Amino acid sequence: MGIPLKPVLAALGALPWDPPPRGAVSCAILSDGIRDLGLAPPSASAFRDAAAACGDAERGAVLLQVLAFALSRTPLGASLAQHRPTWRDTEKRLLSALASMKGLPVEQVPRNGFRREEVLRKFLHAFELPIDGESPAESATRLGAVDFRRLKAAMDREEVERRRVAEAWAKRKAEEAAAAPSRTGSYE
Amino acid sequence: MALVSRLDGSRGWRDRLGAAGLSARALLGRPLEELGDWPGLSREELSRDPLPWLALREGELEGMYAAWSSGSSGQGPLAVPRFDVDGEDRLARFAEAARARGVDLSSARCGAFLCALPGRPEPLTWLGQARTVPVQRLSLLKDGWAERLCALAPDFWTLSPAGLARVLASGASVPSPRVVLSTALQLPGELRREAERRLRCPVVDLFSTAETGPFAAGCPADGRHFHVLTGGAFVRVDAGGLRVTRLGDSPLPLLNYLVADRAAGLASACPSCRHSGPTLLGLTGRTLSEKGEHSTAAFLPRAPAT
Repeated sequence: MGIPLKPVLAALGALPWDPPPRGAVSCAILSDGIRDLGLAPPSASAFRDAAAACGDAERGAVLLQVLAFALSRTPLGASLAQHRPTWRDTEKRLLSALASMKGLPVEQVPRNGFRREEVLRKFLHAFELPIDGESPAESATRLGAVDFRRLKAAMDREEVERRRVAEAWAKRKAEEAAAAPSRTGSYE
Repeated sequence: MALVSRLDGSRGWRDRLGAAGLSARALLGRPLEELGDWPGLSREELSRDPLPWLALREGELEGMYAAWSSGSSGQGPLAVPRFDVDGEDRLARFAEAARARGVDLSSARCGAFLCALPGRPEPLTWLGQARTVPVQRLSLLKDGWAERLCALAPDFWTLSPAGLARVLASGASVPSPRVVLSTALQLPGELRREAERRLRCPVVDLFSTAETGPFAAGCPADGRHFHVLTGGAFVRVDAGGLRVTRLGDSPLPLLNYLVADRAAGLASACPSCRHSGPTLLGLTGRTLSEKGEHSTAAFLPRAPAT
């Protein structure tokens, strides 16, 4: 059975956000969760490296707090104990999870369900934990759909294209208007 | 269906259909008659900002130009985007209208756009740089147009009633085309009959807008009714207003587009001839008027055609 992501997200959304576990407390909660998976917890320096891997250690620390918050206050923590991963490179995977959250606007996490889903999905993906009711392909598709960096890049591309079309349209209209003063009698 | 993928690619249409709990994909496999329940777009909305309604593909932006939709049926003139790629669809509608009058344009060598408009030449893209049939623009306001027309000897002419009146009034001896396709404004019956008599070919009154292209052709028996060109458009009459859904592939997809013209009704067959397809009755909109700068009358020569 996979991780019940839906109820986890629902619970997370319903919780008052403050105060999240801070600093060493959040690392301790995460260590417990990882122990529940039957794995050795990361070292303190591995947590620091992971936090820095998202591009900004301070923001990385907040993301670790979000994960700790989810582990301690939702069914996520209990569901981890049902899984026994065969891999052992925990520190590398934690680093990879946080690195994949580069650019994620952490300030949006408390009030935005998509960002919370993104954080949890990226963590579960890095730790190869299956999601209840989803095939690996479906999980990958959904992860892509909530990936902030990907969405922002697409929106930026769309905005560039929108401006390009708007500029071209303004230019064409101006050309036509300037070249054909009697255009008021135009066709159709 | 080309329309579905274009609607899907347009931000404006995605939002509009989404707000109604619909998506363009849901159009697939549904009869067009059910379109009455679907959201549409008005001419006013389109002219306010046409850009959200576009669904451009790679390279199509370069072929965009501003076409001015006349104000003969309401506000205007309004700028609407048109594209090179629309030219093929326009030619297909010309061929459809000609076929209905017994003229096969499938083997046409070339056509001519006889332009009576002052000002800068309309870009050839007005008809598209058609890949299938080249359409040469000839300005009727420039000396020597008759000679050039003789040299070109096109299979068909496309022009406005003003252009047709000017050709007839000139008395020039030019080779008759196989068909004349009049667009832009309503073709007076008298002018049509005179042109058919002198040019010895069918003269088709096409009902067309800058946004949709031609979508109906005047009944040869009774110029008041218009046969819908079903190959390119699905037309409805909604409380007297004409709603046009363009079926062809265009970067400006139009679904239930409310043009500013009106019709008394839509019959399943023409009451005046043997045409058995949808026919618009009592179509009004782009009529000639004595005044008004957007009307063809402004360009009609003072002297009557002889």
